[in-house]
Amino acid sequence: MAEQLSQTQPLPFAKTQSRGMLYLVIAVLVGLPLVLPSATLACEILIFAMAALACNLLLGYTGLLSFGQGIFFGAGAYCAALAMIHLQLGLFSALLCAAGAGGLLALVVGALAIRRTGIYFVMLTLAFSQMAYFVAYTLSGWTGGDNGLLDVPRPEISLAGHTLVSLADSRHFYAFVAVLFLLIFMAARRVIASPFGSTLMAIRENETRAAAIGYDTRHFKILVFVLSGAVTGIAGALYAMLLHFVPLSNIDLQMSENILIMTIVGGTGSLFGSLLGAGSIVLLGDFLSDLWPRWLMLLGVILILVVVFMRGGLWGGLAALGKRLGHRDKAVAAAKEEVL
Amino acid sequence: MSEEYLLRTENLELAYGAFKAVNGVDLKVRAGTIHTIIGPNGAGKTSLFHCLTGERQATGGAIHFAGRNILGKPAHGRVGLGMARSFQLTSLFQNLSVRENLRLAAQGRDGSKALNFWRSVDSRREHWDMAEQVLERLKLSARADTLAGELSHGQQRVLEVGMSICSRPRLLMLDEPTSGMGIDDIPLMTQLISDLGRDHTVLLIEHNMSIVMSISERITVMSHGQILVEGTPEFVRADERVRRAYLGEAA
Repeated sequence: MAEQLSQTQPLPFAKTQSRGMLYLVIAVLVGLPLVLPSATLACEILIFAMAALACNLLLGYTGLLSFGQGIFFGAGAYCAALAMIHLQLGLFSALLCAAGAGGLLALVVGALAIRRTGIYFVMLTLAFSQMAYFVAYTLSGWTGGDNGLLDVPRPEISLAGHTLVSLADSRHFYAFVAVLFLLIFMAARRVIASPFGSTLMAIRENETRAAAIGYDTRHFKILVFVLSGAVTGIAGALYAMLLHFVPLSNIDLQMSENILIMTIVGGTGSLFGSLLGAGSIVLLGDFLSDLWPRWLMLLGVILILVVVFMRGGLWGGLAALGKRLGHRDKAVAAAKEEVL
Repeated sequence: MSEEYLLRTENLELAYGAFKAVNGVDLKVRAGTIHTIIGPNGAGKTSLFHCLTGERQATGGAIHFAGRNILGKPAHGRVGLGMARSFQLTSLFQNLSVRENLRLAAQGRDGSKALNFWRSVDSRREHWDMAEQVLERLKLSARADTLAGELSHGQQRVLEVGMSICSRPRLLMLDEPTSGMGIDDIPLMTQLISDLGRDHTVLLIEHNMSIVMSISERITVMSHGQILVEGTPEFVRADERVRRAYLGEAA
């Protein structure tokens, strides 16, 4: 019986495919600092890839378009920074703080926003985003308001009071961020392959049916919000450590937009797509801003092209291209066979 | 008495403002039967069905299922008690495979245990097994890895009904399972429903009279939000009021 089942199920294929994807990510993580001019730029890509990946859990897997991602990013940045400055927390405790803050705020925003669906849900996340910005702006005693929060430390990796690795060198910091990214990527894959993750996709496909077959969809949406918020919070904290600074723009609506744009350009419903999306937007920004001060306009044009011509984003485009090449190879092979 | 009837409503009412779509219905569904609700358009069949599935909250009365009043329970909460339904308009997970549609339906019985995000779906082998069993029963094994949205319309209708048995329900509520089916596919569906009737209690809403008369053990005829007549197919066929209210209209 068991043998018969394993024959009929496509598990082995899924497993090899998943391992291939993991190797691909590791290759990218190793390759990035070698190819790019600076490790700081590579760090920035991974940090935004983390945020886009978290956004993808909501948008790509559950079908929830949230403009609240900037709240969790900013909250993670502020909480980690304040905890390091005022409480002298170490690296991991600061990151935990950020994850907790992001997750907790996502719980509140999620629980309230999912009471509505469709356009009203989106409006609610927008409203929360605006509110969070003005809260941060008003609490300038803590956040530094318009000037931003300065002198954010970048703690070393330490164990029982002994410094193991200093992260002051941006290459060291990159290695740390890369390991963290890999762990989060693997965790996200695991979540997607769980009963919970499969139910998220059911909700995305058809929420009415998901409820009819026994799922309390609200609980699933709230939990995915919390997971997404926690990861986004970590990304925010890492960004603060990278810049030694938390600008007010971290909690701006623009931040939510950026994260959404990276997610969509990379490809919704593919975790690797998030890495692609974050990578291309960060790099384009870096490259275009050198060329022309009005580079955001060029970015707009590129966005329009991707959205209009590449359904499924960059990852979808690449996959389709791969398929077409594969077919052509097969067709060529078949033609050769016929000739022979 | 409550054991005899798996589902029993008492004076059930669904009001939209002053209009009562369901107006004091006492429906009794005996365990182990195929029980069909018929009636002319606007008789309140679908409204009654929505109250039973939890899609709408009844505004009055009681619904007893297996001895419990489930009136206020939301739709998802009724699955764990042993109720399952299909939709009149095909409602599948279009971009997921046929097998995954069925596995998700089996997993639905877990309720909030499905919130587990750290175990693999493979850790719940029984859901895969259930999907496999139902695939065979629906004769869809060959199409297990096809996306549900790519099945023919008839096959989608079959999958629609099949998803409802994955949670091992005691009561199957089928909303016009033949709706929109081609004439060639209808015997297949008829056979499937009578097959399911062997190990489930089935509550059916159906328009196709030949199916209704051939597979139902009990028929409830509704009109103007109320029960007009209830009885065996022969009894209902012979009843003068039914002829006037329903069959007469068709003739």
